[in-house]
Amino acid sequence: MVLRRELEMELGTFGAVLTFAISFEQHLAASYRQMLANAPAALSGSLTQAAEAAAKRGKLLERVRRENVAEMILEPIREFASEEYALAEVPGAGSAADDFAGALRQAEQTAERFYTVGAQKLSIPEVKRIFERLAKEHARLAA
Amino acid sequence: MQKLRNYINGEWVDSRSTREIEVLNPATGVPLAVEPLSTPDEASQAVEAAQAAFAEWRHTPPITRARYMFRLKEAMENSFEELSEIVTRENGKTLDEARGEVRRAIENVEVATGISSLLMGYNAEDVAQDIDEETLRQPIGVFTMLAPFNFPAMVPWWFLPYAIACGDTFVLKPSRQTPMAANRLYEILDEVMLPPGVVNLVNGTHDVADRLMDHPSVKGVSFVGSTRAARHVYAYSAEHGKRVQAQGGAKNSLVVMPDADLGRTVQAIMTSVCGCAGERCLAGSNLLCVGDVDKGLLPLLKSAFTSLRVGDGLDPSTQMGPVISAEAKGKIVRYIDGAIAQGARVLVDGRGLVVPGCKEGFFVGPTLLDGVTPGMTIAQEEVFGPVLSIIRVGRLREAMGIIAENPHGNAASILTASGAAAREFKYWVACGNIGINIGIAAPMATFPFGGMKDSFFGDLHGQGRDGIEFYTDRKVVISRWF
Repeated sequence: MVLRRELEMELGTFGAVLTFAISFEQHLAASYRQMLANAPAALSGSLTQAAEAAAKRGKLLERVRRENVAEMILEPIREFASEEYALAEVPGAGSAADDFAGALRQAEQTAERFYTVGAQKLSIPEVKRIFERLAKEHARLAA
Repeated sequence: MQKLRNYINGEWVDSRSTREIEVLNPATGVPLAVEPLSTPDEASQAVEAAQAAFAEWRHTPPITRARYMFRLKEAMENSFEELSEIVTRENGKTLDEARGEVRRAIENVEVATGISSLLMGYNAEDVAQDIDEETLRQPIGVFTMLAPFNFPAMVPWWFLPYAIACGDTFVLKPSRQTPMAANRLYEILDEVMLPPGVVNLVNGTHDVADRLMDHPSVKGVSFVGSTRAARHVYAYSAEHGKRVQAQGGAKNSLVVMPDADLGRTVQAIMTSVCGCAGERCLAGSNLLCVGDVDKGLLPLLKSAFTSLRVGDGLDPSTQMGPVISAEAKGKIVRYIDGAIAQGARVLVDGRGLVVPGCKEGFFVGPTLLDGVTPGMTIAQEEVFGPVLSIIRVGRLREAMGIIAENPHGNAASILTASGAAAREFKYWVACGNIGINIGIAAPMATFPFGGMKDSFFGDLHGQGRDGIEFYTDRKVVISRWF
């Protein structure tokens, strides 16, 4: 899974971080659905669940972005770049079950890392709390 | 290219006017839409539709009107990103700033959903022997709002939700420079399916505004814009018997005390001065440095001004967008030139800024002027751009004296760790909005928004309880039963 080029951006503002997070979850959901087509049946349950959870998180983040910009934020966010959270490629047809499981785990670990760092970078308590919660959720899925 | 239309009596109608202008994207100079400059007769039609709708609408139970507000909120939430992008495209501000603006607009709708309680009157038994007395709060009729360019989605919503929730009907004239957000908001109102005529929109310019202000059926006028225009709106509307709330220009000071937390202070100043490219009535413009605070503050401020990323507001990495027009840019540059001619020194110069990929855009970079004295033109007049003038003062009282002498009274902020200084400031400073360690003292929807002195003409401000007061009248009933 490789995040599309248009998602590569400097995460220097509140809006950029949230926009990236939304795109990240949408991409995760799409990637899991893509993996479902080729993965062994034994993994379909966890991939379906992961895809649905990612889509739900995307919606949650859209709401967070809508509702938490009452303070005009010019405070720059530093040393936070999307390149560090690129995802590996989706395993193709014929890949082993372990490859699919590994890809899922790796994606969730990357997401956990993104939200953990993001929570430290954002100053709005409500958004920080959501990011911390999402980091835990991804950690659970990666386990 | 989109051609804008008027919304009258629940229908989108083409203007019959032959006059039209282009709405430009300030970041690129590219036309976005064609806006008709409607005729005064079309404004009259809108008022007459609103007048015809009033009797039934005011008779609609407030709880039913509140349900329209809930639907309006939901519809706005569903179109949140689209509305924000429209604001950025036509106004230039960053997407985050546009989102903040749309959020504030929705918050006013949220407050208006409480209309059933907000409209309650009060009563007393036995004011005399066997006599009871009660106060009813009743809607009045047709209200109009003349909107500015700088918050095209938010400012009309300081007024419209309260007016219609109270049972009044409404005619909006959006800014001719930024009419697209209001037009989209009216499409959303159309989805909400209010009775025809309750809300109306007429695109246009001064002659439409004049008709709305002097039409006999209009009961009240709300305005936000420059002091010169606000003064005219107040006088002209009052002359025609309307109740008026006219918000004018500003010259806002940020007072920094020697004990201020400099890191947080710089953030507050940046937000205040450079947010929305300085095009807001709450923007900080004069920086009054008390004592020796300038020594630590100015290097930090200079660095922050220099590193701010200016560009197209649609780019998520942009921290400040363009100003509204070539004329606005020219005016801001002339103010900077004038300040230099009067003896100011430029620490950071935003003139001549060219943004790659946006050569036709109307950009002025953050500008920091040192050595400004209170008598200079730049310290007295509203610049409406990202320009900060540094004025050194010895004591807080001196800073407050400078604020007092300015004819404007919209906002002022103090940045300090001293409760005593903060209290003295909020007690004495004659501004409608006071910030304490806040760069932008913007009242939330439940609080009144308005200035003092030449920044406001009228008595009742916008938003919150003042909005309810403005859009209703009180009727006292005294009763005795035999």
